[in-house]
Amino acid sequence: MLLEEISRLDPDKIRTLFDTGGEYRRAISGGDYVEDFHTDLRRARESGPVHEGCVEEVLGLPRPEYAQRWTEPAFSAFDYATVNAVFRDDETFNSQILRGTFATFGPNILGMDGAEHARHRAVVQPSFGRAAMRWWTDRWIAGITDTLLRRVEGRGRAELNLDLCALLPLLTITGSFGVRMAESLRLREVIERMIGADVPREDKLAASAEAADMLLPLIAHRRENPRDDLISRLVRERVRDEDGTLRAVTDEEVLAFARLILTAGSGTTWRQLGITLWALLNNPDQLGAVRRDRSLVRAAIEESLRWEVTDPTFFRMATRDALLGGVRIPAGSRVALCLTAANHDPSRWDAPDAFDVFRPLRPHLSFAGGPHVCLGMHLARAEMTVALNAILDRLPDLRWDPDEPRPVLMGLQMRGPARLPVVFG
Amino acid sequence: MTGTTGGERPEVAVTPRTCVGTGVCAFYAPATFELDERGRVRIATGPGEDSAEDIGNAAEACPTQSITLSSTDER
Ligand code: HEM
Ligand code: SF4
Repeated sequence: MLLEEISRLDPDKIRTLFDTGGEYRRAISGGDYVEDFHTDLRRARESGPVHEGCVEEVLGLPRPEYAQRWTEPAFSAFDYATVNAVFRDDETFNSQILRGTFATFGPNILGMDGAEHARHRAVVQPSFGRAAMRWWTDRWIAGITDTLLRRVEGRGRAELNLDLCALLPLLTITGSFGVRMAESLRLREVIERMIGADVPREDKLAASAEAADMLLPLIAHRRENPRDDLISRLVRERVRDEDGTLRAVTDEEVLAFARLILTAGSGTTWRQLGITLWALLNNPDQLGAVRRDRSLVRAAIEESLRWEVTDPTFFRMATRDALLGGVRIPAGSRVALCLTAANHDPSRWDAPDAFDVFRPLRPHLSFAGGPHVCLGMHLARAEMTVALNAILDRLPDLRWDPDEPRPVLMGLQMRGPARLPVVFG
Repeated sequence: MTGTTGGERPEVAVTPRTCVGTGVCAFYAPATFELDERGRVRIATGPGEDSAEDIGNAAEACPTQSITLSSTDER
């Protein structure tokens, strides 16, 4: 049933929707960037933990289009201690800057601060906790992974970026909403338009409304006819208001949250799984070790997150004058936090630019830190764990396709490989 | 709310009042930390042991600093 629904998904549409190398990404920022990212970041960090300008400017690139719209001064941080401290000090550096998402998503936790953030995050935290991961895996991740791999395992070759990495996280989330597989691609298309960097504002608002047209009837339906899915869980939750009273969560709140996790949870996990496979395929000895000793799957995923997180830059706004890494930051400034640079801080990791699944585990900042630490971190890890184990079980002797060009990691945001052409068996 | 994990491992104390239930601690040290019915941290009662490094990672990564460690020989 799942297999049938998935096999009917339009391959051309999948290709355009998950086009890592193409136009869409170029429009966002540094889509073409394939230089030696880690060397560039090391140079930046070595010349000081905090610099004036956005990350692109510090790396010597032109100020990207999206940053030309900023009216406030910008600074960028590159070392572990500073990035970690900013994430944790949400009074001095808050998430106000992310309130821009409210117009299209609806009010959501990404742009909330302090007590308001805590009250709303508490509503959704239980559904994404470690205890919920058995449900996520048994109900969605395992079946979708199985179905996607069944389509390729007999062929001896695959393009894992589209055949598996792109679809698993999207279908996990839309599946958990109760959206039919055939509708999932349309929902992603709409959500991509809603957040597109070069999409006119009125088109973004139209896309946001279109997402509402798809999701609100579903939310209303689950209130009356609960099923074993995420929306049915969320509509049963209660929100604590500012005055302490408990009330039912509204349909609009569930809708805003659904729009948020569609954007936060599908593209990220897709590209991070791709990066993990890319790094292992380029290090066949480590791939072999992980295949033989599955306790290394966890290490491989954490090392992939540390070494090359797909979204390397997040932002905060200074609420007051501050001193950061010796640099004066005026109130109202934007502070870019470069997670990849922080994750390569040599004061914390030996030979940080090497991908090494055997290094001792130390917490990285790829899921951020402090109150906004990624809500979906356990889910992302569960998806990547199931997928990696299934690939190692079912695609023996996995290696790059010798007849295809080796893919590179691209982009200054939304980094990832454009393709993952492999052969096996 | 203090639990000892024995051996070379540090003395561990948790503060459920400030915990927001992220599960970061239980990811790094699942034999030492777990969440109660209300989603707040408590010292785990199950079997198994975490290394001092795992417990240190959990305390360091906790986004609300709800875990404190003190090494046994300081006491
Ligand atoms: C490997 C995959 C992922 C990475 C690298 C990642 C990374 C991040 C980061 C760095 C943040 C912090 C944003 C900020 O502080 O401004 C964040 C927040 C968030 N993530 Fe993830 N994420 C991933 C997967 C997911 C998944 C699968 C979901 C969903 C279901 C998700 C949902 C969220 C949400 C809702 C937030 C906002 C949390 C808050 O503001 O309290 N993420 N993520
Ligand atoms: S990491 Fe900290 S906030 Fe998260 S569950 Fe553990 S104690 Fe609570």
